Amino acid sequence: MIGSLLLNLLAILQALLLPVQASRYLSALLLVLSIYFAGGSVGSLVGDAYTAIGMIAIAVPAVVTLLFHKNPQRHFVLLTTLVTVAGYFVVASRNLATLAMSLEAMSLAAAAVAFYPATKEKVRTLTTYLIFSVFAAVLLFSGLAFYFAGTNGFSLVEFTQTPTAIVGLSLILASIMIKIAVTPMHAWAVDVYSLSSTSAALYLSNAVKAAAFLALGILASGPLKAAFSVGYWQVLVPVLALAAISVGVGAGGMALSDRAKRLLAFSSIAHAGFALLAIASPGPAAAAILAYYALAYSIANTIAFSSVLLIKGEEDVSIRGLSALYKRPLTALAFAIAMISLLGVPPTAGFNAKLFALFSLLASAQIPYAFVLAVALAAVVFTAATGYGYAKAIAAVARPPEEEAEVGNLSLEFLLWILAAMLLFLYFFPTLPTPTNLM
Amino acid sequence: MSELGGALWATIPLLVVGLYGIAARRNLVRIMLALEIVGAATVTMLGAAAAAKWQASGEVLGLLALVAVGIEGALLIALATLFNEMYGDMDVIVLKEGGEEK
Repeated sequence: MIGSLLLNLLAILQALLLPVQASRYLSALLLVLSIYFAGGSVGSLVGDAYTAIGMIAIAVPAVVTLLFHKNPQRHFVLLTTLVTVAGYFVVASRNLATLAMSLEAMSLAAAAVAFYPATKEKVRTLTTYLIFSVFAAVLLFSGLAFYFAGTNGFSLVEFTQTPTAIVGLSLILASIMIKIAVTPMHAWAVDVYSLSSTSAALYLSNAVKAAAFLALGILASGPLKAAFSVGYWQVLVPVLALAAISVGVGAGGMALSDRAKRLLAFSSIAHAGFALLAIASPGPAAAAILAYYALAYSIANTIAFSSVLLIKGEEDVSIRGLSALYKRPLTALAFAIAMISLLGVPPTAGFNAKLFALFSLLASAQIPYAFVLAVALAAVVFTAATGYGYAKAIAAVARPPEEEAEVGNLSLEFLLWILAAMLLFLYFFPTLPTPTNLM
Repeated sequence: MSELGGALWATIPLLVVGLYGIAARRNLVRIMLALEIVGAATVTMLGAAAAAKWQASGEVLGLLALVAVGIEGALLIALATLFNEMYGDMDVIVLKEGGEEK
């Protein structure tokens, strides 16, 4: 782990000092290399298979953003590197204090990424984002304070079931739900993802969300499991209800969207809800499912946003405009695989991810079965409804373009083919790591 | 909650006032102040719990929380000022419905 930390430090330093054209490549290289060296442990940072999967889920969008952004400014490279490193810390944290501080460090830098490139039009968007972000931070720290007061520390394993600690845990959960944009706290996501530059949206919608999913997994295998085992299942009832509603809101928004980035923003809201279903049976299995979900989602969503990047660069494109990919059959196929994976159809990793999350929901022993069944049914029906949005996008790439559009970035396209192949590979060989050495 | 005594009870009014402010106010600066009040309650609680349990980690985290919420608060105030310059208003309803730029 120490090697990984040193490489992360080096990535930040070189992003500060070197010219941007060199630092963006070096940053991507160092961030990928640090995954290889993330073994062992330093303090409450542990490098295990769970950490590695989380780091890959965060690194994929980071690398695409760093390598394929057209003319990034120096501070964009630095901020992307900082958010990525903070995300690495989140997934490696095995103590609540480290987890909370890493999450906040990530959110703080992410706010700056959302404002990139700074224009007056984005003031409204960023203000909305910051209000939600500060609210989430305040909830997180309030939760942490209650947790500390109730359990006598920040340990994830020595959880004392006092009412104070349960209130703390609920507040932390609420904070993470804001960060992953679960309804009714989803308004910021639609604005930020659809109005930010494509690279910033690609990065924020994948890396930050993947890290938050894994943080949720760590909570699920620690204190949430302990609270659940002594009968505090009521905490999860509103969470699951909001998760199902979130899938519905995402489906509705997708059906009404005619812009690609807006469609993907609503898709991310639907996915936040679906992933949340996995914590209905808190424990290491739920954490493993969330890690797998984060990886599958991150890869598929990176392909989707990268396709917009290929066609229109940093601007948004209409769903019809996606037909520019028609003349690049392999890239169009990669895009279609990503859409199918986001919908959750075999043989893609997205299918397994949704199936595992549903299994976890249905395996919940303490929550009344009628409620579990209602949530599962709502989630499945709403997911089927998201199919309309994804079908619109797939139909667009299968149609010849109405006007000539030049699409040509072979290296990015090659990367998208590999990522699409990974989605198929992960379907046949799913990886389900659990967080170890909770402290 | 009794393990922390009076210090914890002192934070409850702060929390209530802060949460009321977040829910009931529309002016950006007032919302920010409400968020900071909840932040202050949090730090007080961490400090009180740390003192009651003789654990310095709570105080350290309280300080870090103060810094994090402070930075985000400062950013929001800066944006609110810019927002006021652009739209001549600090009402959050403008965020939702859109306003006319000055």
